[in-house]
Amino acid sequence: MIELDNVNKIYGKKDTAFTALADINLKLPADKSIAVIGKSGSGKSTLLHLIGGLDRPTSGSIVINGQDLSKLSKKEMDRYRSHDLGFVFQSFFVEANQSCYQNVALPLEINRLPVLKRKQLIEDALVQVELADKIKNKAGTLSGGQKQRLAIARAIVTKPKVILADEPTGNLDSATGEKVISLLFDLHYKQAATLVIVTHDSDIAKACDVQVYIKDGKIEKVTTKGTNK
Amino acid sequence: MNWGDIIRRSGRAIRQAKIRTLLTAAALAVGGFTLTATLAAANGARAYGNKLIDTNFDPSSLIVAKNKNVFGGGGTTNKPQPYSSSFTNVGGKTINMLDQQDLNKLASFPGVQSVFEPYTTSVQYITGPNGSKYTGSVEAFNPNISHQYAAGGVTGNIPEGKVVVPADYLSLLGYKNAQSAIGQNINIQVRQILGGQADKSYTIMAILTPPSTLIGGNVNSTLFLNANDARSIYDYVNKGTINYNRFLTAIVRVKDGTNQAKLNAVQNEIKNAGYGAESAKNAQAVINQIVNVLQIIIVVFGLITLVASFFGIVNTQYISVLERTREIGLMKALGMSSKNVSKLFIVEAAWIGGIGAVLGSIVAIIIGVLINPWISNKINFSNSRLLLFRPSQVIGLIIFLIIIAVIAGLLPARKAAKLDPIEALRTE
Ligand SMILES: Nc1ncnc2c1ncn2[C@@H]1O[C@H](COP(=O)(O)OP(=O)(O)OP(=O)(O)O)[C@@H](O)[C@H]1O
Ligand SMILES: [Mg+2]
Repeated sequence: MIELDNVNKIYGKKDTAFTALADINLKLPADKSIAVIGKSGSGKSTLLHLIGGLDRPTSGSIVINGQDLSKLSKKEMDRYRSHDLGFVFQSFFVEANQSCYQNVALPLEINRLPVLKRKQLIEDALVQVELADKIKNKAGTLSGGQKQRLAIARAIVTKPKVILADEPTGNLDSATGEKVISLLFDLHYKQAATLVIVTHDSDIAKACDVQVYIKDGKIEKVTTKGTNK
Repeated sequence: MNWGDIIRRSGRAIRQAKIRTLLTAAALAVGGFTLTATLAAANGARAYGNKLIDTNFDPSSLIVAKNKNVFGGGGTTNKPQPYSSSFTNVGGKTINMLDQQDLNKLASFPGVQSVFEPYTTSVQYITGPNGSKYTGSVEAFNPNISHQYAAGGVTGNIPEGKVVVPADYLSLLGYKNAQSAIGQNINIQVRQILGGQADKSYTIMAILTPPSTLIGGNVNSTLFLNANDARSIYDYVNKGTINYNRFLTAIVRVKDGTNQAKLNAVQNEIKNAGYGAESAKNAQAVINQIVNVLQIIIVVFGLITLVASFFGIVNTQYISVLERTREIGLMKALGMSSKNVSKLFIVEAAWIGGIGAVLGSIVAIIIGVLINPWISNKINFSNSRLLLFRPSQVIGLIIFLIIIAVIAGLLPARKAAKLDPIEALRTE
């Protein structure tokens, strides 16, 4: 369950102050897929960053699966991100000159998982994104779609409760994008994780259980799969 | 992140920036090389100095003169001095001399085992089988000094009528080699200051190898005789002069003199009686002081290059942080703590430091191994080595350079740790 209560996010101060998010109240169900839709600059990424603990709201509270983020220390926030979340970014952010194995190993290293327990998890994650045969290849040699699948493997290897994807298909052609999306949906079912996807694509949005429409930093409307149909 | 993962990840980053790492490390290696070589050279010089002292001085003896100024140089005044029977004037300088009474007095000090007078005398010339005449001096053989012999040898004291000859004389005087010279005669022509001349002949008992040189200046051209023979030459030459029965220095052997405390006690006692007294340790200290000063000068230059490479590392690490802004953003977004991000870059700097330090010391050691024999040969070091590497010093230096690199890496690492992940991920 993702709960946002009166969340405001204001960038800058006084003269340059800019309200990126205003009075956001949201209750998003756990284990469901949620689409965040809106125009460029509407505040989608900002919302995702707040949920992901990369940034703190100017006011209001965010509670993820019963955990109030505003009450977390810096250390606890790091732990929250490394244990409970999986991030997928628009521009992949895989390390080109490291192997697929090393890329996926990063979150496990951050979690201080013993070396011996890592191999199996990494192989499993790569199998799930169909990159098992590329395990030793440098990430730089992969195609765009493969890179994003590698990023997904990295996001799910820790078996997070929430997967946050910021325009995961933004840099991919539609066919490759579809494959990546179906993979994300697949994994969110299999791992029973909440999936939040920021997207411009209405088809992707429709495929999600909940749609959150944002306009100029405010919630425009929230629909669910049933009402949408 | 575990230390193991941090070390591995930073090591990987280092490998990916090979050229940059190597160049930065090379700057550090220059400093490392200078310091390693300097320490080794100083070790070698000190070891050589010690050896030199051991072969020229008896460590449990003191060199005693009429007063301390003989050693300091201050007493050999060139101004006119009021007359005293203990003064002599050598080359325009007035020098205090010891006489037999002084020697007896020195022998009577408690803690003194014996007083040895070398009776050092310049002779007119020395000749051998081929009749060529060469300069030289004679001195009483001191059984407490260890010599190295090319041929023959002396156990205990040298008997009367025998002589120990430095190797340099052999070919000059017409002896075939050291071995065959043993048992042959050598002639010493002495000339009385007041006219007379005498030709003395001694049987060669041993040949000195060249190394025991440099100190004492004329050891290379000094023949060693039995104390009685040396005394008779000394007396013959100086007879009728003011120097007759006067001596510049005496060697005072201290009971249990290898015990530094006892040596010092006797030294102070003798000094308090108005004499000048120096021990081999003092001479050693003088040598070591010279070595230390030279060492400090070179070490300072080494440290200056280290300062330069320090900024090199700071620069390289800043570039590394800038280059990997996105990677840092990602790691932080994935929940890596700022502390661990910082560690990652500090360890990266440590890698550079380690590589540079190892590189520098390896080059220094290789060069040392290659040039040691050549240098030893050139400056008559015989079997001593100029560059003496101590593993503990080399390892200590490597650790020191790693610490320097770590300090240089602190600021860039701080910058990395402070990066805002959202900002960092925005950079394309
Ligand atoms: N650090 C910041 N300082 C000032 N303004 C910011 C900052 N970050 C974001 N903004 C502003 O907040 C608004 C929302 O930005 P956000 O990145 O959330 O948009 P978005 O909906 O993700 O857009 P896009 O679809 O283009 O990614 C934008 O107007 C942006 O300029
Ligand atoms: Mg965005």
